[in-house]
Amino acid sequence: MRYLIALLFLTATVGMYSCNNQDTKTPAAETGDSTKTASKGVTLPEGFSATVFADTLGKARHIVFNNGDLFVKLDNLNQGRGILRLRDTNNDGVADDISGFGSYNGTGIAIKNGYLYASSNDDVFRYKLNQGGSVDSASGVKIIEGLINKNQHNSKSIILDNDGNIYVNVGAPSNSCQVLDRQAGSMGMNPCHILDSAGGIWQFKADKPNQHYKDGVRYATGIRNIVGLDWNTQVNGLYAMQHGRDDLDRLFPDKYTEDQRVELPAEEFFRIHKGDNFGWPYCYYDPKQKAKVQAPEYGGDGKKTTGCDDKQKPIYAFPAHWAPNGLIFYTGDQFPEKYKNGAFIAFHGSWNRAPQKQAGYCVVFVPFKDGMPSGDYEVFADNFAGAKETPGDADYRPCGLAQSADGSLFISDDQKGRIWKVSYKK
Amino acid sequence: MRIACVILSLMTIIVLISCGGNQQSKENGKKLYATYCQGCHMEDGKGVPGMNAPLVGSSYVAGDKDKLVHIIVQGSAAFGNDPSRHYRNAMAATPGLTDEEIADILTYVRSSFGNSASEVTIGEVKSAKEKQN
Repeated sequence: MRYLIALLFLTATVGMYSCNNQDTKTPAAETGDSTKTASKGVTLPEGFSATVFADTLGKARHIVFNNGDLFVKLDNLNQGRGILRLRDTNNDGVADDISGFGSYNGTGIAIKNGYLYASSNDDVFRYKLNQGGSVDSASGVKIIEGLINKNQHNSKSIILDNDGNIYVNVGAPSNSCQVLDRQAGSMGMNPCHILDSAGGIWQFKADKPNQHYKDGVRYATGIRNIVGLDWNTQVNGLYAMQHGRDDLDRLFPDKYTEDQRVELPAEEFFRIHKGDNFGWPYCYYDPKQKAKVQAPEYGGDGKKTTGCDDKQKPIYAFPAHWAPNGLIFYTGDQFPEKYKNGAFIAFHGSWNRAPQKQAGYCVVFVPFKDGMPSGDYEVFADNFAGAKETPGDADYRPCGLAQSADGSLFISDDQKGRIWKVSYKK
Repeated sequence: MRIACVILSLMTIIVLISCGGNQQSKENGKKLYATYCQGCHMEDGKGVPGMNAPLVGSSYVAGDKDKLVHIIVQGSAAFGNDPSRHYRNAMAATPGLTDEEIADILTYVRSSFGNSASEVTIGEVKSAKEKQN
């Protein structure tokens, strides 16, 4: 009897152990940290080389260069600082003098006519630059306030023109303006009232304090979300990269397959004129049909173009879900001639391609002529993600771009906060 | 002796059934996870930094089962105003799932990606839904 009871317990224990064992085995294999190898470093075309200009800064978003300094906007505070100034005093390609100011998170940063502009996720600030290039942080003035911030797509990218205006992206706090955001089968609000105060680019005065929506102009609309934007000085115009919509097949499984969602819609490159409407949320761009197609939330079936023919098309279409976060037109003389006036675009890398292979953790180049793309894109800098090209495990994710006075290109990463300085030697 | 034998056999069967049941639930949960959850939370449960919450090391995932059921049924609304949550995308509600499907998904998520929390039963899902109403 005693023997039997012991056996009973033993059986029970073995049974439970085998259960638990199965539970613990799977995750160990799935996390796979032990198999991860270190990144071998960023790859570049022949003749180019990169130095790690700064590292582990935190969520380094947009960057801008001025008078020997690289300014970095952080989306999490580094020792209480939301803006860092990086200076390379001995000119060895590595920043050795770091200071900072501005105790708010955000993405946008720009410099124009002796002022530095930076954005939180609600407001835009302006600071006076001293002659030596340092910032008088006490001079900070809030020039725009109270922009829509409902977490989703809340980063406020900024750029200035040559006529005293500043342009601010206000992303739509929504995927496709559904009545219930991102919920399968939920139809689109019609009209999409989000467009009244978001889903577009707003233009404000660069020097006027405390401006609200009523003081600005909705410069362009029908834009889901923009992170990368730049002013092209050659043609005096605004350009930007849109983050296209997600989840076509998950939201409308009767109309789209997984394969279609992985490649739709294109990440669109816009040339923006005042008054343009790019179609979100009613339309998206299908690069195969080369057309703006009606979104399923508004009755679309993947082919119909109802209500979309008058919407502004992109000047270039990139693969879906790559998440373009940085755009800069290269005006330097250091790089070979073909790069002059062309566009570099920093892609953050996809997540909405799951369960298929993620893509787009890279910086690409598009040649330009007279303000329009003059050839296909090529991958310029790659291998940021390292061994695992997934959003959770990528070593680095490209975000911001800047050009120094001597024509070097800076690339920021917001996964760990690394900054690369890319140079060219014949 | 005969009674002991019966008890032994019974106990063994119970252990096997509960073990097999849990395993079955996990396998179903994995399939359902791929359909309803993986698009945002990713195959590895790590989510998208700053955008879609990770299910690895999450106090919600390892925590109160009632709350977890409410999160699946209601989506982001179930979080209320938790200041520690700072993910940019909203989580959609998934109201059409059966109690068994919710139990399977939660059992899978709580015991995968390095998580080692207990299974969620159909009874617990029912009970959580009643508390919500």
